[in-house]
Amino acid sequence: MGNFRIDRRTVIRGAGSIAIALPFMEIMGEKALAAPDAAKRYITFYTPGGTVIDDWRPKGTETNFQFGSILQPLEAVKSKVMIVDGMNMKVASGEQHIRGLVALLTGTRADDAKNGFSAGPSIDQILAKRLSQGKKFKSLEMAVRWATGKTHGKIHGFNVLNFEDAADPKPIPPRIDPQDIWQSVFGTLVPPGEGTGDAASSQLLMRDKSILDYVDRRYVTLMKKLGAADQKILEAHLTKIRELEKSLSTGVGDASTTCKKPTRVDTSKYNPRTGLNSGDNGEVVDSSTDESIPLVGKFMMDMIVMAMSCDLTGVATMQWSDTEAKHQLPWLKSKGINQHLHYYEHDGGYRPKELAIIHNWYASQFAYLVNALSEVKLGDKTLLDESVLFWGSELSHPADHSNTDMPFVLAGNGGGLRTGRYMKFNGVENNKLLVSLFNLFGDTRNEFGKPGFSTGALNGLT
Amino acid sequence: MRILVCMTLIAALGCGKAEKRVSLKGPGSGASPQTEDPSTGKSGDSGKVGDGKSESPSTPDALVSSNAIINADAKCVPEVVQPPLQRLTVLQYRNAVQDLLALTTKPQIILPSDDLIGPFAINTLTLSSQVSVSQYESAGEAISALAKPQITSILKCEGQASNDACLKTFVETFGAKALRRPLSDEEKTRYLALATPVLTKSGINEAALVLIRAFLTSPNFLYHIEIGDAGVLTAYELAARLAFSLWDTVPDAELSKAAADGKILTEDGLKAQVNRLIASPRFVEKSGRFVSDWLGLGKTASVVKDKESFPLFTPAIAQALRKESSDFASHVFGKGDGKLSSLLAADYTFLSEPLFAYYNVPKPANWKEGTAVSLKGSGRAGILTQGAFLTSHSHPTSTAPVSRGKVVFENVLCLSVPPPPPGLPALPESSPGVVTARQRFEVHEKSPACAGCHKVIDPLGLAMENFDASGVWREMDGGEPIIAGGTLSLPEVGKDTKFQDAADMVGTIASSPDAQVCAIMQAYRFIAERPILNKDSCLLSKYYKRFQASGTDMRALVSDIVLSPEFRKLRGTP
Repeated sequence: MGNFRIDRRTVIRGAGSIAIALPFMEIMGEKALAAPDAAKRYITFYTPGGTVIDDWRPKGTETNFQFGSILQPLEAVKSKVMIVDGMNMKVASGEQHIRGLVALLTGTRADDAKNGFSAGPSIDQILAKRLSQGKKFKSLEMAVRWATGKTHGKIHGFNVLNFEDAADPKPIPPRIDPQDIWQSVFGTLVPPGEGTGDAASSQLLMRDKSILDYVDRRYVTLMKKLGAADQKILEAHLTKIRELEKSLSTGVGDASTTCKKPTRVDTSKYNPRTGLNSGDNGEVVDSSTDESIPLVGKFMMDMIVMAMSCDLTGVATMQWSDTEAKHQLPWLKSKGINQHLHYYEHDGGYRPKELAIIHNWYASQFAYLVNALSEVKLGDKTLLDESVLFWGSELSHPADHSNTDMPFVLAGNGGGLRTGRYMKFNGVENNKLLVSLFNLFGDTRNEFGKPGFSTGALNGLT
Repeated sequence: MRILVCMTLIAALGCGKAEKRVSLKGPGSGASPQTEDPSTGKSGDSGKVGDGKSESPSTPDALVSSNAIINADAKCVPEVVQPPLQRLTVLQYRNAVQDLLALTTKPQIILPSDDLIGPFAINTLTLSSQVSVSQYESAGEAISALAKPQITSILKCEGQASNDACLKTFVETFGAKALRRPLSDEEKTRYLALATPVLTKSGINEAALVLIRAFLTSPNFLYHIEIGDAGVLTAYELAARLAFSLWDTVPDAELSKAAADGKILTEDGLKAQVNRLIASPRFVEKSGRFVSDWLGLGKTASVVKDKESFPLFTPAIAQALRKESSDFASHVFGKGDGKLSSLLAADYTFLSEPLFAYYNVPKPANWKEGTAVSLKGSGRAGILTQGAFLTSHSHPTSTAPVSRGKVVFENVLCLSVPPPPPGLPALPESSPGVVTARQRFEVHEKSPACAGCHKVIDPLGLAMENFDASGVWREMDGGEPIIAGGTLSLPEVGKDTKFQDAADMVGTIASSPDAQVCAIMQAYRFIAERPILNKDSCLLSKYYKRFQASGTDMRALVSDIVLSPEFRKLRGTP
């Protein structure tokens, strides 16, 4: 990047004030040459229940710092991550878990929601329009061991992170079945040099298309007979059917040397819908599913990496459970963990020692994903170089559900994000961080979410 | 600052005022302003919450306060509220498919999750993702695969002149069942046009499977489509609504016949059908689901407790406890008197063999499975003191008095709880002098921030402290005697009533207008499949009068709901 680094705000101001007539470079002169390419891929990494902030917080200065015990696993990818400390989410308001989950990616207030969930779209869905254009999937939302406890396997404010980019943003339930995901994302993928698929599957595809097309027309016919409000409901359904039709006809991705079908992992011991049988307080235990969480989580992360390598999508979410995470963590048993996450947060009294062990494990998963992205080479760059990852949670301190001092981490160098640094902010709103993320992707807005909570981006990220 | 915000909040919200509060879907509902709003410099929205939260367009469910119903003007005219188009619930879809294809078991098909209104599955939200829609597409495909081995018996081509004729009959008969009405000529033509090329190419079985797929992904199957006639449901629409409301499936032959010959539109014809449907085991089954969803008992059979603390609590016991509640509810809604007071406070239950020892209840000499067992002197009465409820709302190692209390408070009394304010410390661990749950929870009473809600909720849960996390009776907690007595404060009715123990408390609850009004609201959501709006207080007040007159007979209430003219009005008009 050289010595010159343009402040993004200069770029924005330049573009705004001198109108669009003048080419960018003329305004910026030489400096514009140094402007980094916009980031091309975005991944949200969500872990539940905040952290133990004292064990999370690094010690030291911006460029010379040591990880605390929780983030220790990031040591191997230290130069690729940026610790973002001291952010607040004061916009969060409403039920204590829901409010944080809504605020995290939307910067809005659950209380203002028209749909019972969020008052605005989530950043990933807006970015998807830009990043996934022409790709098979607008975005891929995946969740492992989803909808535990009181949500009983159902979509709920406790477990949804992503919201449509629409006037009335509907919650987007994540994909939870690893085998379904594999089938729908990679099932029809034909790696280079392997022909164009067999005749039987293309015949099936034709039949699928003709039924979808038929159903499509039934919806249109029926809609004419219904009232406006009901038409809207059916129209939404129809739109999704059309998207489905389209995805059946669009290409199967840009197969290249970096694009390979990920190994289809045997997850037969894992029941993705075990949440449907959950008890309110985690008293219903599904041992074989819980034992498979690390396996399935890794499988999902591998699929995200490969979906990005294959250009099947530009946006993904990796969600670990839900805000309460009332599942067992049997693989941490040897470290003394024999209850669910929420138990250690407050059901069984606040227990920072156990929580630190669990969050340390989550950190190792984030490190895995960052490293996996760095191993995919695209010419002289890696996938990670073009990506931005945002690891966040819905709250900071589990015992009091506070939304200050959020434990946020960024990774990847997309948009010129300068990693390998420990950034300390003093009570800045997360809406500003979201604006910064937008800017990294070439979306030059300077406000996002509930008005009044952010103007401009964070300083010093690039 | 935080404490101040939180006190303001409680003053503004009050605890338990159901009025004008929009409940978020499902558990953990409620909204609390928490933070300082940098844009205004004011504390959250606390000034607005009490009055400003209007009914949101897509989740308009808001419980009405008991007072509004109890004191409604006797001359008020119910206003018909038109909730949006609804999708079949997962259960309705599965039941319908089972009935359509005459399968012996419910197909375990993956479908988009249900939305909730209160504790019940009702789908009023728009399908939000491509994933959900593709799940319906895959479900249609999976079901046609399921039907494949038995397609000959589903098709019934014997005696048909040709395959074409058979396919035509199939479109008409299967279609009428799936869409809950005869198909129009245009529809018949179109469905045949889809299937005929398949018939030519791959044979009649394949053609029928394609039709099954098309019918099961049709909006006319997936949604409760009601177009009506002059603002009232048509005979077929009414039959379908009754079938789904009372049985959770498509109309059976008799109901379809009453629709075809128009009898269902006569007062006697409608009554006859309603009585028939309510007297059926399928209604009893649906009532069991009502109780189970209402009180959160659905997972009891697979509850696990800490083995060291509760060695007697085995999977067999968990299943026996679930069976007890299920048998009990079936009795109340089936052979029993159908009364809310019985459900909440009956002095009898239905035990299976291992539960006599577990409950320490003497086994009558002539006992056999299925006979009522007296609970007198056992400290138990009604469904809230049964093991299913007690174990479902406890931690694996200890009781959860606030959880238990909250279910009673929110679901049985229809009062709402704002979430705890932020910044509160965790409850203290056991320490000298703080041993029992009651002692630990005294913190709530002492803190002004907590007391607002907890002084109402905690006594409900602490009353059940005589039942440990595994549902077993106990006198002591941590070596100290349990005090189960307390005061029931019902904010809407404004009366404090003292009680001695859990059995005493459930009796008081059962006879309270709050619980009766609440049962009406819950039944209305569950049976009419509608969210509750403030406007509904007039309609609900009519049900309330008749519910009281019937001595709180839940079956009479259900019948009242489906026979009322409002039930026959069209829903989903603009």
